[in-house]
Amino acid sequence: MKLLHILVAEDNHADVILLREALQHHRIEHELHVVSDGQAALDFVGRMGSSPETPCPDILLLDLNLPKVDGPTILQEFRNHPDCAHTPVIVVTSSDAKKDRARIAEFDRTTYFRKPSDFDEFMELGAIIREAINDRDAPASN
Amino acid sequence: MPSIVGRYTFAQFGADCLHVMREGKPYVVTDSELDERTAQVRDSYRLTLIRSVIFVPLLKEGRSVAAMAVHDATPRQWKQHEVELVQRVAGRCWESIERARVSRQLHEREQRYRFLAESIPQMVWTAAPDGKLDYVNEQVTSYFGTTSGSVLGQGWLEWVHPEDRLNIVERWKHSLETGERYETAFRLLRSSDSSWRWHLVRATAMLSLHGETARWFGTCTDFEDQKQAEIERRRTQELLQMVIDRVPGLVSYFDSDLRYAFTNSHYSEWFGAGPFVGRKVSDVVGEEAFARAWPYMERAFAGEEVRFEEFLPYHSSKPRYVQVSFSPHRTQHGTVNGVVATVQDITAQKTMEEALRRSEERLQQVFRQAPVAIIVLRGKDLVAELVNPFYQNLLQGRELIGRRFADVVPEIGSDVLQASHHVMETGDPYVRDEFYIPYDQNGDGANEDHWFNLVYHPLREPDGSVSGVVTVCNEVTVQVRARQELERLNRELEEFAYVASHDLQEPLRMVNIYTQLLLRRHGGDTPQAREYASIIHTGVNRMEALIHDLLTFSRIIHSEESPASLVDLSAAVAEATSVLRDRIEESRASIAAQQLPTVPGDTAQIAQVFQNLLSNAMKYQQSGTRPEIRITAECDDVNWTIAIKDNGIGFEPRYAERIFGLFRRLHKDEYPGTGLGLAICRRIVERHKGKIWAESTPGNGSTFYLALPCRKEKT
Repeated sequence: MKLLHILVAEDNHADVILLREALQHHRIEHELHVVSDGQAALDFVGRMGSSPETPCPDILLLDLNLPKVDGPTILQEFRNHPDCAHTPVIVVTSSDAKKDRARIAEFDRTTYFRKPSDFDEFMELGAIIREAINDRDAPASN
Repeated sequence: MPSIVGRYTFAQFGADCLHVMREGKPYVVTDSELDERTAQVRDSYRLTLIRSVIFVPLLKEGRSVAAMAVHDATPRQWKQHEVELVQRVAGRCWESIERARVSRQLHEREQRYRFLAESIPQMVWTAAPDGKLDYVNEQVTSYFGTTSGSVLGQGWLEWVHPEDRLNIVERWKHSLETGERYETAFRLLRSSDSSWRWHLVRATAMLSLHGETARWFGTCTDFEDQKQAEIERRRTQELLQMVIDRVPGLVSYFDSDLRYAFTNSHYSEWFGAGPFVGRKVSDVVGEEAFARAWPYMERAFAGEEVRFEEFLPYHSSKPRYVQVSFSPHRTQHGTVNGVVATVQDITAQKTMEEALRRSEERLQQVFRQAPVAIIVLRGKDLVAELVNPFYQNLLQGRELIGRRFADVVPEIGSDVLQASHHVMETGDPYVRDEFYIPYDQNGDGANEDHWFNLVYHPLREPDGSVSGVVTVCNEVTVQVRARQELERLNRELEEFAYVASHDLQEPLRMVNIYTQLLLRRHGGDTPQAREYASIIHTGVNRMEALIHDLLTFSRIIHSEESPASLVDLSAAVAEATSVLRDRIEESRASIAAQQLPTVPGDTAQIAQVFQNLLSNAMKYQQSGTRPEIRITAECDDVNWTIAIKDNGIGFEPRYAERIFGLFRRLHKDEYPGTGLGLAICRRIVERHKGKIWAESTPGNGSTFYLALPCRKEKT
């Protein structure tokens, strides 16, 4: 697997560390582009593809509860970008609220991952990322 | 010689002439020129050419009633025998005069009686002692249309009404035999119109000197007209009585002795059996009622028409409210002979009036004291007609009555007036809750926010037209503010709950995960490290459970009241067992549920109740015993009662209530829990208008009961 550009919108640094652990655990070569609040995420999305520092990512890991701007708004902007309409998105959140799941379900190629309290379960995120990329690369089956 | 008849008095022939003759003696003058007794009256003698005269009186029963005179033109010495002769002639003369006079009188009397008999309107007749008619007057012949010749000598039985014949024959026979006066009434046929007319027939026997019947004298008096008049009078009286008896109420006449002279039939309905005529008014109505009516009677006897209403406590009738009129009955001379009284029973009317008055009083009271504001607006201009104190309070210091509402509250919104006009125009009531009506209630010149629950009701005239609007309003500003505040708080709490579910759990997740990471990377795998890690892990789990249950509890508190849908209780149990599957398998619990009903409710919430109860039943288990749980249901008319019975450790009955309280745990360490499970159950059941309670004896298991309404309450 080639190097993956992963855009991570996450305000909790501890979760970013765990994400790196999970990627390493699954031997996924990656480059993380981390933004830690909603506004920063929107800024990144606005500049995506315009410079090497802000490439169009291979996948977006999005926390729903970000400061300043909420996750669904960012997700909408991301999808509106011409190059990212079908880019896989994994919503990574500690919320298990039905209304959050319902909002996310409206978006195509979007996976919901609830942050677990167990280390080993968290490491599974790596497998989910790999799977999402594989799905993206596979011929559309639907 | 001129006649002296009628021209001279006896005194003109001598002053003592009359005197002498009154004594029955003759008055003799030999020569008037010489006689001293004629000295004063010689002119009379000379003028009558009388020189000598003999006056003798004509006596009747010894009294001188006339005189006879023999005179000569020359002086004459009258002889005694001449005087006696004149006296004798005078006596004879008088006798014949008398006889002629008597005969003439008899004839006149006969004529008079005949004339009388012919001219009186009755039939007059006479009959021989044997009853045969020997005289009838013209009235008889003209009545029967016959001649006297054919009547006389016989009776008139053929003209008597056949029904009356037998009777009169008997009576007539009796009178003929005994000479008794005959008097009877019968019908006689009148020829002129062939009608039978009633007659009173009388006959009296004229007796001879020997006391025998010499002749019958009789009359027939036609009283048919009187009889008809009497019949007519009686008929009129009956009619009058009937009419007066039909008059509702009493009609009577009483005289100045205060005795009834007339009463109508209603008297016996009021006062029992009559008759009342002749009885004292006070006896009939009773002294007490009489005493109350007496002042009015007095005025009527004084000549006044009196009308009054009184409550009269009659003694032989129930007490009644009556409307009375007394009309004085005046004679021609203006004195009052009696009083016509009419009495109407108006008890029912009075009672109704009284009831109406009371009802109106009550309504007035309700209107005045009603804890809602009421105003009556009249006409298209909505002029305030009636305002209760509560309404006046809404517009303190403003004069309302008689003024246009729009003038009283000029700052009020047009929508309020439009609503009133709408009711006026359509006649449809208008109801609106929490109508936002900003106006200046406190009089500081600035409008404040006010909300009202309003009902505008049309006021209808008897013809159905709308003439006004009754507005009933209730200020709900405080309630609206409180609800708005509550809604704001609820929104904040929801926000809080959402944030809490995320932000409170986040640190715990970090603690958990990083403890694991720390141990793996840096802590080494020692028994002590594992023990410490386990303690951290337990603490975190317990904290997560607490947060979870608290959130559940707060969500139930603030979720909408009265769930609207239906819950299949069997499905709810299935959902609960599905969530608890791992624990059921782990404890090898047996759960037996009979077929359960469907009741109004929220499936997720009821499933939560079963989940908590089943979870408890498995948790509070004697070690080494397999949990056995039975769920049964029973129904009365109102509720389904679900029983969840286990074979667990049970509890002291005195804790049966306490266990449903928040954080009320009976066991701290040996059985982990948040102390919220049963509180959540109670809260959910109460939201379903149901009840939850528990029965138990320590060591013998517990039974939890849920009573849930079969039907949704109508609200």
